[in-house]
This record gives sequence, structure tokens and C-alpha cells, in this order.
Amino acid sequence: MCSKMISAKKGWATVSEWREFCVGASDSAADDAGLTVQFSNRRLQRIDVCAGDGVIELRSVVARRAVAEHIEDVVLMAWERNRASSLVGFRADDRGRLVGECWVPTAGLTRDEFLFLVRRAAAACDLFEFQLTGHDRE
Amino acid sequence: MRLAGGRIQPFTLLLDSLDGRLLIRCISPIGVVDLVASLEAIQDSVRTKPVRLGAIRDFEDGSYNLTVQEDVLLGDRAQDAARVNVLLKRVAEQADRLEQIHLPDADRALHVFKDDLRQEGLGHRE
Repeated sequence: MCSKMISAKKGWATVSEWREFCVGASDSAADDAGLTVQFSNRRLQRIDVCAGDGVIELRSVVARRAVAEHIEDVVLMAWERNRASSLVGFRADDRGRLVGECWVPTAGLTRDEFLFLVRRAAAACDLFEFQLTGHDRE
Repeated sequence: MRLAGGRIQPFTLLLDSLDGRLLIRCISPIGVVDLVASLEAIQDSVRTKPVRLGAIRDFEDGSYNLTVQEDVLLGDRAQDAARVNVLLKRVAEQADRLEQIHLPDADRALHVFKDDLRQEGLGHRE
């Protein structure tokens, strides 16, 4: 039986718990490190899941280094976008990639909330990728 | 918010909604930074940590053009206070860390930013 909520008492999530949340989600395919979300227009977006220290962090690549470094003012654009963005923030990571991220404390986290955040992160990153590059590589 | 070590970090909290769900946004100002001249330094300070920086590019006047801002979903009421506490701690600590790096001359108090923070969420500081 799929657990619908991560115990508030426990407060942290295991890989098996967030993967359980993905069971039955028709728009995503999960593995141990994350999941791939497919949109109705067949575009895809990979989301990496990092669970620990009382929060779950979701991260997705908007543009790889080789692409991002050729987009003028891409980092400033990301920080400016962050002013109006909800739940998802953008930055250049230590690999030079432009990434989108969101997080949520695990205590009391429900399946419904987790999938909402996954879909939100995927959509926000896919949109930014499309606006910057016109492609669907991530 | 008073942090460990005695430093303070101003912030504002805004209630918002997204697709029928409530969320709380926390915005903490870092200050006025030369975004062009300090771009590389700012990037270096957030490369290894998932920090959401907010930049006001067409900045003409005001008390800040760089913020740390995050939001968190509200759900089960029994967990909301804990979620907001995590949000506050996360935002305030990162904003203070970045203030110390990029504007080390002072630990700016709320009154410096109060008028501009009041404009957040009203569309006046996009």
C-alpha cells in the first residue's frame, strides 16, 4: 500500500518513500535518483530528487554549460526571473549549468504535494529552457 | 530575524496562491550591489548552494536590488508553522551570508529596507 504522507514525527524521507509517491502518476517515470515528467505536448523534463536533512530538493537542468555560456546575461536573467517565480528558483550551479530548483520540508509531505511540486518544477524549467533555446534537450 | 552570532536579517512574508494552493513567500534583502561589476563574485557565492537570488536589473533607486527569496507550500495546518520556520531560517541565513560577502561594511537593520519591503507583492518592485 502506498503511503500518502511522510510521518511528521519521522521528518525525513527515504528514496522508497518519495518513489512510492510516484506510483500511479501517469505523467512521470521514476528511478532511484529522480524522475522524468512528460507533458501533453510530448516534451520531457528530467527532475533529480535529493532527500535529506528534513527537506526534499528537486533540481532540473534548464541549459547545460555549453549552451548557457553562450546566452548573454543568462544568470542575470535567471535572477530577475526569480523575482516573479513561485516555488522554483533558477541559478548557475557549480558545473556551469543553468538549473531550476525547489524544495519542501518532508514532515507531513503528502503525495499530492510532492507531485504538484514535481510538475511545477518540471513545467517552470521546461518553459525557461524553451524560451532560452527553443529546444527540448533536458 | 536575529541569527546565531547576533547579526540581524530583515525579511517580509507574503501570502500567495498557486493553482488553488496557498504558499508563503519570504523575501530578505541583501542590499544595493553593482550587479554587473560583482556578477562573478555573486555567482561564486551561490554556485554550490541552492539559493534563490532575486535581482532588480533596471534599478534606479531604493534600498536593495538583490534579495534572497523562497517560498513554501502550506498544507496540513499542523505542519504550517514548522514549514514557515524552515523557510525563514533558510532565507535569512543565506541573505545574511551574502550580505557579509558582498556588503561587509554593515549589518543593515529593518528600517533601512522597510519602505521598499512594503512594496513587495504590490508589483512595484519587479
